[in-house]
Amino acid sequence: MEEQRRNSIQFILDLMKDTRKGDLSYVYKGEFSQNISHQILSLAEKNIDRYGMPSKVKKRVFHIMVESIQNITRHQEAPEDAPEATAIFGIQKRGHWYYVTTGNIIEKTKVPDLEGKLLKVNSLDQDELTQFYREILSDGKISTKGGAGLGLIEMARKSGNKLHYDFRDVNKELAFFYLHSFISTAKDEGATMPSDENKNYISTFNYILDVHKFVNKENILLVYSSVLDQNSLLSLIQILDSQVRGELAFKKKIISNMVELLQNIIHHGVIKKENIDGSQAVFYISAIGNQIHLNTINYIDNTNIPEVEERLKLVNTLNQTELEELYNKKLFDFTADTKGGLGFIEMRIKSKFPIQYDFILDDEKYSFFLLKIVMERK
Amino acid sequence: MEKFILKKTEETPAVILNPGKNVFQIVATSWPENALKFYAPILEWFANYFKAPNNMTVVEFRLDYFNTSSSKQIAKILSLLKEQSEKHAIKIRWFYDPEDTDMKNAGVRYAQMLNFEFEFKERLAY
Repeated sequence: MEEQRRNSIQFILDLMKDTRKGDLSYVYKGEFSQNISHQILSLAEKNIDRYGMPSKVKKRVFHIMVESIQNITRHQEAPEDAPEATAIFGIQKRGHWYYVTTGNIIEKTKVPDLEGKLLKVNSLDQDELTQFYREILSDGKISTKGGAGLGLIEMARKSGNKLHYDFRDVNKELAFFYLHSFISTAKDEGATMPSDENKNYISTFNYILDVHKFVNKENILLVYSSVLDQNSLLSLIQILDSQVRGELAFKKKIISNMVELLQNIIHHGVIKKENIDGSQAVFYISAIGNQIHLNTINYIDNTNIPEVEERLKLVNTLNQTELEELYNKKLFDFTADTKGGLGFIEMRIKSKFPIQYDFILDDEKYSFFLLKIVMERK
Repeated sequence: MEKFILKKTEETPAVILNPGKNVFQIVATSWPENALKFYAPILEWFANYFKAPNNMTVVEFRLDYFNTSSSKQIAKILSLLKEQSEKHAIKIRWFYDPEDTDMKNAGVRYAQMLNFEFEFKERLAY
């Protein structure tokens, strides 16, 4: 149990370290309703905007994301009782490349047909793909589920690269289908990946497999690991709002706590990479029994640890009445406008559980600051 | 007195301060990154307005969410209103979704802390 906990923490710390290189990773697992799909795209789009890429590249990445998500919504066949069968979407930026990965459940009987389409698409060069695309369109053989493989052709065309894929067994009848595509941030249309980037391409795919394992193990609904700012917060709120089921009061508590947690990081988080407008952070939500856990990791300046720890210790020792009193006192203390200090108290009042936290030394200047807020349905 | 109107955004509430129509409302969601900056002009507007207010001023809070930094700025507005209520006729109406006990409690907290009687009203979703 202890070892498992340590592995999980190590995994999250690795995610956090990746944000330092200006890389991004964002993984969503769950139902892909129209609103959620829209918000996922918008969140990814805001992130892409930050890197100031040519609009041509942005459009290409966006197009592939849209096709990928449509691919999931078309083939959502997840049985209710198999959470490991829930679809997953991930986008990563590593250096000059974007990687878009989807995973969804598929009936094993459909695997040969799908693999046939993928093999066909991967056997064609760009001109042949365009030709093939036209043929299918004029053939009029598009089923209601878009099964002609137009989406796959489009993804191969827009990315300029072969599609990487894999099937993993879920049970006797079902398999999990992973589709991984990558897009150059270079301006020229459909840059092909040079061979030395190839290991990156394989590693990003393995990475998603690792994330997926982790996500299933911890029953995570969403992992966001990137630069955090007010805009990304607003998209995350929307996603969570559509994703978490339950009564209004509970949902509101979760959203309020999430806003406090993340705004705390936006205001006080340390930025370890230059030229980035926002704080690096990992945020993930897990559903465990009738509890929802909100987790964040960000960097903290080592010299600030004692003060933050003292505040956390204090709110954790107080009972509800004492917490209310402290809240009231701080609420009307207008001298400390910039240092509100209300956040932790409010989270503690809304959660009813102690705030779990940890500081893990990274180097002589900074540490990782881990926070977990637990909330329980009545 | 010029009216003060702000449209609601994803992160800030609609603000309608219109003495001509005798409507004073703060509506929807308030979780701006910088609440101090957002609420400063509203506070200033109220301070000016009470130099020559209407016979009766009813201020309505119709909020779904607010973050803690907004809660502090709302405390400032309510403190100002409480102070002015000693000279002028002012009423506070606090709306809440019947399912959202936290929002009702937030209003009760302000009312108690300021010793200011609020009118509490249930409302349906906007």
